[in-house]
Amino acid sequence: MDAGDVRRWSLVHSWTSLLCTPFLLMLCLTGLPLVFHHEIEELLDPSEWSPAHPDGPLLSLDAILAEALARRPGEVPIFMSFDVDRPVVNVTTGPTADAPGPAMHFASFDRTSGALVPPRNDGGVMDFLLQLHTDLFLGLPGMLFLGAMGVLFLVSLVSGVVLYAPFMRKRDFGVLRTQRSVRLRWLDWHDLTGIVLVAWVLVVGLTGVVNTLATPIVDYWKYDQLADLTAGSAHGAPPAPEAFASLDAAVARAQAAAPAMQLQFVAFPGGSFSTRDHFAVFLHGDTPLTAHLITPALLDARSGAFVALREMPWYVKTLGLSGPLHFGDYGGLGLKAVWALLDVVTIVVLVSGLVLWVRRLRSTAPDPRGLPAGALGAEGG
Amino acid sequence: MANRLRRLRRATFPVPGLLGLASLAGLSLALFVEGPLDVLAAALLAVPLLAVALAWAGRERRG
Repeated sequence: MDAGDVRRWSLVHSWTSLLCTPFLLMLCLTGLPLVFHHEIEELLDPSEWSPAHPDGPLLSLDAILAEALARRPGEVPIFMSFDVDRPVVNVTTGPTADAPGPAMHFASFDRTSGALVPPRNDGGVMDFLLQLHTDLFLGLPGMLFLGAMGVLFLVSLVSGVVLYAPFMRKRDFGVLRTQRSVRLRWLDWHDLTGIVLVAWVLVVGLTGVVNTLATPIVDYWKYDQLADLTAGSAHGAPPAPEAFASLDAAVARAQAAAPAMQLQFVAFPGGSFSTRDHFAVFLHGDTPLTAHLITPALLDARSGAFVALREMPWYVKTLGLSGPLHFGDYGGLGLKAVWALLDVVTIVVLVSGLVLWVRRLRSTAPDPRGLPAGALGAEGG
Repeated sequence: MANRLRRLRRATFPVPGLLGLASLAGLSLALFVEGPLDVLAAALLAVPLLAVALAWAGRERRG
């Protein structure tokens, strides 16, 4: 690599880093508590709910659905989902199955008694942080913007690795020259922390970018695969809830078609995740890997007959795996603690890069690596 | 042995490469296993942190 190459790569590294660093800092700072969101939410909301009959039999899904609709006269069901850690069924209803989000009503029911379950605290600090982290409170444009920042970050990482080689050729790995100038101290910290974290940060960054594409990915799946699954079906008005076949029987048929899978949620006819004529029963696997991969089964909403089951395409599977790989919340507390420490070290990489750039702007002294003015100093990581 | 370690540290990419492999192995393991093996995944992911800690511990000697 000659001096011209170094100059070009350092410019790429400098400017991609500068553009994305403020947002990456925000993402790292908000991501830190989000790693522990389960634990923090439990601390912030200590109210302990317990089912009416902890050892009693569970009510049928049809009974819960009837209870939910009785409480919302004139509305239709849109989704039914299930808490993982307690016998609670959540039912989303609305004036029509394709009602927009604000018009939907969400209620949780004790599956042992049919009683309403008090809602968990919404709108707390964790929700605020998640929203900020996900889309800057700007919805899809905010998500796509953060995705673009993520792409810049990935370019910055690659250019940092490229620059690491020429500038580390005469130095041992892991040397921190703390007795030298302040600038060299920051430079060594940046080089070291950047290069040791590069694999983890690449994975977290890449999965973060994939997560920002969640809406277009799901929309494309609905356009491509869901439409294909239901090709040829009638497109009249969705059946009224009174005309539904037994939901329990439909779910049992779906599970019989995929015996190793567990029920995740049900989308009712006319909603955005189903068709006008079908229950869409979404199942997931029961291993750590397949728990994040969902498979939809379609069943005729009037007869309950099984229609089709199809594995999700690769791009939806990629999205499913990107969530846990990005947030690090798929393991125990030990894994989360390591994840949080890795996040803190990433903040060191970002801050040291910023400090180097600011110091370079202020300094008139030549760069110790002979880099052009305005470059970040080829932090190499 | 000491010379080999010295050469390893001198070379540009072997140590960062090994740290990267440890990270990727930890990420994959955590995705495929549960229970006690989760600890191994966390340990592999912590290897880069150990490298930073060792560099910090040795900063004055080599400074």
